[in-house]
Order: sequence, then C-alpha cells, then structure tokens
Amino acid sequence: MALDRTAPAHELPCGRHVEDVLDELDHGTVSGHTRSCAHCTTARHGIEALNEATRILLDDPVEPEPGLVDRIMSAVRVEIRHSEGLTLPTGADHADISIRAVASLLRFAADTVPGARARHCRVEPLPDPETDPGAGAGAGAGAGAGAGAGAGAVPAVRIDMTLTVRYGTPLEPLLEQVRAQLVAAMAGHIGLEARTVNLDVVDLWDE
Amino acid sequence: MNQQPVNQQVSSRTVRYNTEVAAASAAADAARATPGVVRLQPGLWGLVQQLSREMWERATGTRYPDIAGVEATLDADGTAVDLDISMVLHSGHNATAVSAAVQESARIAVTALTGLAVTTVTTHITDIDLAPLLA
Amino acid sequence: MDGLSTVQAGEAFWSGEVGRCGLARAGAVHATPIPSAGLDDATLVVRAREGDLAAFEALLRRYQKRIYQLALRMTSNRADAEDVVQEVFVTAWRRMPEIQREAAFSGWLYTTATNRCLTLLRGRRPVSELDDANPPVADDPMEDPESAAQTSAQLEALTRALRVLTDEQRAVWLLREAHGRSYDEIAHIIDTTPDAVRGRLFRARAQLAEAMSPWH
Repeated sequence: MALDRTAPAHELPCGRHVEDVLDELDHGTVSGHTRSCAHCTTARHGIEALNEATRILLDDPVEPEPGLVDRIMSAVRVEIRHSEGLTLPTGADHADISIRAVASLLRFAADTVPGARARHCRVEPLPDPETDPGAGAGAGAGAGAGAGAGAGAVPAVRIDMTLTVRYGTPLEPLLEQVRAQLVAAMAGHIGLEARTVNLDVVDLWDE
Repeated sequence: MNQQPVNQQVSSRTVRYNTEVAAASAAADAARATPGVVRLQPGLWGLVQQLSREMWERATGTRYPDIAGVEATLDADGTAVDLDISMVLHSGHNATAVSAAVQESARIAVTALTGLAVTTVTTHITDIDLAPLLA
Repeated sequence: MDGLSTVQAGEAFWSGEVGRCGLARAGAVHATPIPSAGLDDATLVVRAREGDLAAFEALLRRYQKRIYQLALRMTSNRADAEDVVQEVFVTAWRRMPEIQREAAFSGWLYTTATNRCLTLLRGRRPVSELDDANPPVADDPMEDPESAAQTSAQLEALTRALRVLTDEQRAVWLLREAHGRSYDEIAHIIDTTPDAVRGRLFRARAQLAEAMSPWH
C-alpha cells in the first residue's frame, strides 16, 4: 500500500497532528490550543529539539580521517594519462616535461604579481628557429639558463593565458609584470624560451 | 649476489627480467639522489611490475627494489639497456638541468652496477612540486 | 631579490646558477601568491579542468568535509562515507572537462554524492517499502565509544531519528536543512518537482520531530 504523502500520519491523542503544530511554529503563530494542550506541547518540544539539533548539524563536528585527502590525491595522480610534453634541450637523450605541470608553474608565476590571478593557461611549442626562416635568432628575451646543448638554440614556446585582475589595478604595468614573470619562469625553471606571450584579462575581482 | 637460485634451470626470460630490474634499481637510486628530484612517479604500468616481485626475490634472495617510475628494457643481446624515468621536479631547480643530470647519473650508475651499456635514457617530468616556492 | 615592483620586463630574476632558481620573494606589502586554498571556486575549477593538480586539491580540501558529512549522515557508516567521498572526487577529476559552468561544480558534487549514497543504501536493504510502521532496525555501525564527535546528546538523538526516515526523505532533509541546497537543486537531484520537495521536507520534519519528542 503506497503511503499517501499528503495525509499527516502523526495523530496526537487530542485529535490534532504533529504537522499542525509544526505548521503553526513555522508561521510563528502558536494557537491557544497548542499552548494549553499537553500533547501538542510535547510535540512542540520535539520540534524545538529538532531545530536545536539541526543547528548543531549545520556545523557538523564529524570529520573524515586525516589520510583521506592524500588517498584521493594518490588515486587521482595514477589517473593522469601521459599528458602532452614539451621537449627539454638536454642533448642526445630525450627529456620532456608535462605541459600540465608547466601550466601550473606559469599560473603560480602570474599569481605572484599583485592583483593578478591566472585562469586558463595554454603552452605550445613553437617551430625551431633554425628551420623556420621567419623567426629571428636574437628574439629570445628569456635570458640564458637551461642546458641548450641541442640544436644550438633554446627551444621556444607560445603561452596563452587568461587572467582575472583586481578592480582598480593599472593594467599596463600589471600585464608587463606578468609577462616578465612568465618569461623568467620558463627560462629559469624550465629551460625554454617564452617567445610569444598572449595575455587576456577576462574578469575583475574585488576584495 | 651469490645466492643460488632455487631452480637451477633459470629461464632466460627470468634472467632478462631480473637484469632489467637490477638496471632499473640502479637508475632509480641515481635519479632519487639527484638534486631537484622530489620523487619518482609511477604510472599505471607500475602495478604490473609488482606482480613479478616473487620471481625476483626467489632468484636473488634479496628484497624487490623500489623501481616504480622507472622502466628498463634490455636489447636482444642482453648487453645494453634503454631506460625510461618519470619523476617529480622540485620547484627550486631548473627542469632541463635536472633532467640532464638524471640522464648522466643514471647512465653511470647502471653501467657501474650491472656492466650493461646504456643506449638511451628518456626522462619525463610529470609534475612540479610548488610547495618550496610557497614556503 | 627585491619586491616585485623592481622586476623589469625581460629581466631574469633567478640566481643565475644553472640548476638553481627561485621566483622573486615579494616584500612585506605584496604577498606571495595566494596558495590555491584562497582562490575562488571559478578560478579553481578552470584550472582543475586543465589538469592543475594544486587547484583540484584545493577544491577537494574545500568540499570534502561537507560531502563526507552528507554521506555519513545518509549511510551511518564511516567506511562507506569515505568510499563515497573518494568515488565522488575521483569521478570529478575524470569529468572536469564536462563541467562547463564553474558555478555548477558544488551542485555536481552534491548530486553525485547523494546518488551514490542512495545506490549504496538500496544495495543494503531488501527492496520492500519501509513505512512508518516498520522503521529500519537501528544497526549502529557509527556508534563508536571513542568518538568524541558524538558527545552531544541532541546530535545522537537526531542521528537515531534520521534512520527512521526513508532514504529519500533523509536525503531531502539533509540537503535542505544541513547543507542549505535550494529546492530546485534538490528537485533535480531526486528527479521530482520543487513543490514535491517542499512536501517531502515537511513530512520529514514532522517525522523527525515526532521521533525526538519526549514521549520516546
């Protein structure tokens, strides 16, 4: 027999139902009957006990065991398929670094600029300047570092990044600083040249 | 390692496998000891290697080494090996420099400990540990 | 290394030794970048969608407690609740590219967690409908003498009372009263209308109040 969900089931000995008392309390209008009736008053105590317990649950004291986060992150790391990599110029042997990891570093670098927060970040290798007649050999703004023993030129990348910026921050200096950080991060931390950096401000924030 | 294998007729496949494990072990130790390497990073295929733990321990009498994150592949002759190493980079270090250092030290260690020639060492940085930059 | 204001475009700001470098330490006024923990959901979701592990971990830390609490109060079993949390977040990682609206992320977590719990609970009991006359037997996998969290008598009473509800009623009540989800969202999760949710919630509250009344 299916329950009739509209019919109250908690009938009190006085003929009313728990739902009636609940309804009254919800609307803040406690009737005379409720006040004087022992059964309704008992129901009211139950409702108040429920409300109080609910308040405790809003800030529920139970916590998962401390190792859960690490366990989940380990499971997630195993999931990571071999993501696309950027080749690093180590010489005869092949070395690469996942683009995902580089993007994380670049976001971090952008975040160091006050008022800037990185969102989308894409990194793509650019054609080798030796085989690409269009690219200038002296274009590298990312000074030095990296092992560069390969083709003689440090491999280059293009970075596309979107940012959100704190309302009121002057944009030009901020973008210049972000660009500088990205170039330096690629050169110093990775060993590649950030030849092209495209930045887009997509949102403003206020704190 | 002068332990006699329990079964005198050790298959060549077992010998090859155990040689690969020895090479991987030498490479793993060298990589972990390289400044800038936080840890090696196993992928799903690391789980497969665990299944052969018994083979190794029975044949060598030593504990199966921790080689998750390293693959060693012996050539047909059994005299040279290719290495593949996946690792996590410490953010205070240059990725290219660390990769080159790992490649060099792995070559030296594997040849010194196993006598094998090392044909190629391929390294992959799967992640950068940014925690040092936040400290 | 000075504050960031001195960085010129193109200037390298690492120490120059091959193999050693560090991003410029900021001065006192300009802080080092906010660790991911301080970023807004939208930014974290965009980053996590692109594979940024730090961003994903920040989202995990931000929401795991609430999702665990929901699962625990739904299933009354710590091990099950932890399994639910793990499944929900590992699935979230796999499915991040599908979450197009950043604002939908928390809703997605709640939806997935609730459904997991309901499936798990369906797998536990026989299929027969449980009504008010036959409340589920109170097996108490959660009662744990050492657990300091259950010190509150009221919370214990509520925990017992929650088991009187049907699984769906419990879900509706927890989502609304303990987690503040909207009627629209709850309706979507259990596949019904917002009005039906209102009705079920009212019923659930009456039932809980009855279970918590002094005459018990």
